[in-house]
Amino acid sequence: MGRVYLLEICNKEGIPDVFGIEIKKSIRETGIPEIESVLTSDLYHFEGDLSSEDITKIAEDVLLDGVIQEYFLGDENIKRRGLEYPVVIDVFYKKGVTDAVADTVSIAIKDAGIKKDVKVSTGKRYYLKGQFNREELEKICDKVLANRLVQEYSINILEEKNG
Amino acid sequence: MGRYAEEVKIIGADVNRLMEISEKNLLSLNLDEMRIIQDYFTSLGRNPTDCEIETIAQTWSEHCYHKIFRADIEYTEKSEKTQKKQKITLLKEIKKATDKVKGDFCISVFKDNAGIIKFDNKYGIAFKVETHNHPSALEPYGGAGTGIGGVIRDILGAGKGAFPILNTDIFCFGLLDASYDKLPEGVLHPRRVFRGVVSGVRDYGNRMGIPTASGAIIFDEGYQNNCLVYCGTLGVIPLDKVEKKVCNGDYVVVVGGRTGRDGIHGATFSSVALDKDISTSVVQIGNPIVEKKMMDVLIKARDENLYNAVTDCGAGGLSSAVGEMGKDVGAVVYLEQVPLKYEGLAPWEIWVSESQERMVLAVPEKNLTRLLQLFSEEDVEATVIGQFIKSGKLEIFYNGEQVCCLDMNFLHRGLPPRKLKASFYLKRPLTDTTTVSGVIDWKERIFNVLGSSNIASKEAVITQYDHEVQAHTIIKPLTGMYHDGPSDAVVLNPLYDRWKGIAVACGINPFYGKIDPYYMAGCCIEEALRNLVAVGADPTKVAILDNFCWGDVNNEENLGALTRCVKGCYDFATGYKLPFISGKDSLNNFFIDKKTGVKTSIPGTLLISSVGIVSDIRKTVTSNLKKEGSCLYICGKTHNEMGMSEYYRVHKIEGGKVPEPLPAETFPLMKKIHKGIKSGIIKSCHDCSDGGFIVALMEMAMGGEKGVSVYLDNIPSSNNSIDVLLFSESQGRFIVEVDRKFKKQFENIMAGSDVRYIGNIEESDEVKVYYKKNLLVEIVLKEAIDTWKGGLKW
Repeated sequence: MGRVYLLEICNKEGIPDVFGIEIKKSIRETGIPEIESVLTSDLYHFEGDLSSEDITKIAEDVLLDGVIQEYFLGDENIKRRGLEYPVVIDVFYKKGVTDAVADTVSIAIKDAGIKKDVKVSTGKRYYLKGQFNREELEKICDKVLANRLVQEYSINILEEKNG
Repeated sequence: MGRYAEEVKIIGADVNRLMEISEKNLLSLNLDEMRIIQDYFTSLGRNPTDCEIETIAQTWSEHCYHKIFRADIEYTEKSEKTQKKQKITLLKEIKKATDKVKGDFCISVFKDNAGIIKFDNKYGIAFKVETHNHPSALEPYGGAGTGIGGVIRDILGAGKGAFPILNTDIFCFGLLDASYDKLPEGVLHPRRVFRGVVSGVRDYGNRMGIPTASGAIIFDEGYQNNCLVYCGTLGVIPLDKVEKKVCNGDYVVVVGGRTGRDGIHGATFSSVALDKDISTSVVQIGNPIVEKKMMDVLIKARDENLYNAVTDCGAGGLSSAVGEMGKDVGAVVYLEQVPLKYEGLAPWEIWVSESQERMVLAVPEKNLTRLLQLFSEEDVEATVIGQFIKSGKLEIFYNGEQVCCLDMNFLHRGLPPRKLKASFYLKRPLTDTTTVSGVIDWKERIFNVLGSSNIASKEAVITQYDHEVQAHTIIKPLTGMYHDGPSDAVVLNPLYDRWKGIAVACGINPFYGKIDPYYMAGCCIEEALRNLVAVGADPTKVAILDNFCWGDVNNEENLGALTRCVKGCYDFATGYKLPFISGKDSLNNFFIDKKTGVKTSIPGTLLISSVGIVSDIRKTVTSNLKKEGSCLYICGKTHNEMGMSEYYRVHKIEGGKVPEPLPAETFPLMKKIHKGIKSGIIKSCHDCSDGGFIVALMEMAMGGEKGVSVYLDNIPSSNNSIDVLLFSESQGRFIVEVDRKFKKQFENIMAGSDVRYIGNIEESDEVKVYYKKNLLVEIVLKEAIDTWKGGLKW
């Protein structure tokens, strides 16, 4: 029976997110100066007969650099960061586009001893902090974060709860 | 028709229907071509299949067939008073130039995937440069990466396989400060294209373990909607592996990556104007790890003599590769054997897909088992998909059904040359007036030029590329103790057991072409040669490559400018005795704005790449100044040639003459410079080009962190105005450093040429320029370095 997992890997707090700094610079250059901070993560999407022990092993033995990175499942990290980074965008390749890293991860999983067929796809998650409207947000997605030709994205906005 | 092939109803179709078929299927075939196909199939008594139409479209695409360069052009050159007419074929003109000067230094020219020259008695050097413009404009990272991946495979497919030792990359982008709001719909911002392209080349080249150590970057608003990405690769090949021949009975074996839908119609697409609605499939995605593994095992298989011929799967995919290889024989292919990335591809899609990292081998029966075993051991896929049979036909089957049966002769020779008209208007030579007046802050002007994006240090880009891997880079892209000076050329020592090496450089300047493409050609050719001479390569052992990127060539004037450029190539290549060994063209680089309907073409851009033999790598020099107390000389005469100079463009000054190279004077001078470097008398050398004398001098001073004093009016010149002396971009000039004690010997070597002492290297941190005994400018080196390094806003 196939199960779906989303694994998120990012730098530990205090370790500079260089890619995030570059993205913030690019966003500023599109004419959106109100972007305060950008944090990025690598996403790995798994579909297959994997147990939660398998996922832990894949995260810790195959993908994680334990010195500077930490990992989360699903939207754990989104909830953890809460309203500090209310805007979260996930970017994945469109179907049919070659995902070379995913192919390598599939091989690495088998090498790690998990002899199961797993479908892997890789993506990126962007956490944005700043003041911008919906139009600016779409501009950020289309002009900086994703190339609509080969990628698609989904936007997740954490709403402030009243009361 | 059966289950797998669709019939394309072309017999009896009228004009509109024929063009509809071409447009709907992205075939990029014009009416004449559709008619030739129609006549052929009418004579056969049947309609073509989709597979057959696709095969013809790929083979006859501009990218693969070079229809414009093979066309019969009626060229008219007009000026105010005269008119000259001439019949010319562009490709023949280039080949004529090579035939005139080549000698036995050139081993394989214009017939294989790359040009090959002789290195020594055992080895040859293969060099190829090509472009990947359209995909890079749409998806910069993937487009540039696959551009490098593709040209690397061209080297792997040169002869029986050359081993890649160097990557080069030359880019043309729009202005980095372009306004986001003014960009036409579908055009990516130049900054985004710039970063994506640099990253793409970096990631692919670095992961292949090939140093990327030579290149150039040009910024001009003409490239905003259509960037240019030139990728080149150089390789080493044993001389006994240069010849290849497909034999009757050889198996068709495809190796490397699997086939998918990526890149379908890349070849025919490159002829279509960029349109933001082009679907995903024309973009190719690369996987350098697969290519690296394939490269390594291919060389092993080559050395075991396991195959008779090899070629790469590039534009047009298997249809080009197998079609080309089987051109004089014939082939039978079983498409269901091709390993696929995923299910669901139609036979024609498998046949024309441009999925990356694939090569095709012709393997004789006796070696097949060993070859398949070797590839399997190295974890690279190798699959038999057919056989080369002496039938004169290309027959393709899918699950037992014949989906294609084409006559090889018709496919490769069935397209007659186009007949085109071209015209060029020679503007009256512009009167040269130095337009500057009043009090001028020369230091400010020098800094404006030094910090302009075309002159500024490209350190931010260069340092992303691994230029040390393979451990044979002798002169690197940045030179001096702190890598603060630019090198003219890269010098490599490809075979570690001997002192012989090669130098690689390029020449490009689209700005001159805006005034006269003839002299643009001359300057690009000379610059490519000058850069090699400046590091110590032998000017009589140099070969060059041409790469033309042009706008809409259906326009008579644009085609005329291209023709004029090619004529310049002939005259100056023969003038400097430089054989062209390979060339490519990318035409129709234009953009149609959906909103306004306006068509914008790029400025016609010629890239000349050069490779030269260095007999002893220990006798090469870099441009950074070496020793306080040494003398500085300028070699070569200066003229008032400020048209389209960096100085004029930065300060928005119009007019002026573009530089005109003078081979009769410069070639002998180059030979003397070579002698001076070889003998050890010349300690540093740098050629004058973009930005003129002062930029070259500053680059030498910054690189060496040495102060200098120079007397501007000592420079031999036909015009003594300050701006001409500082900024004119006259060709054929070098600045050299000579130790005081070798002054006499140096002057003896250079006798007969315009060579003059201009100043000294001082123990200071300032560059002092004197004019008519007064101090004109004083520049602190640290300030210059900051300006030069800060000019490129990465």
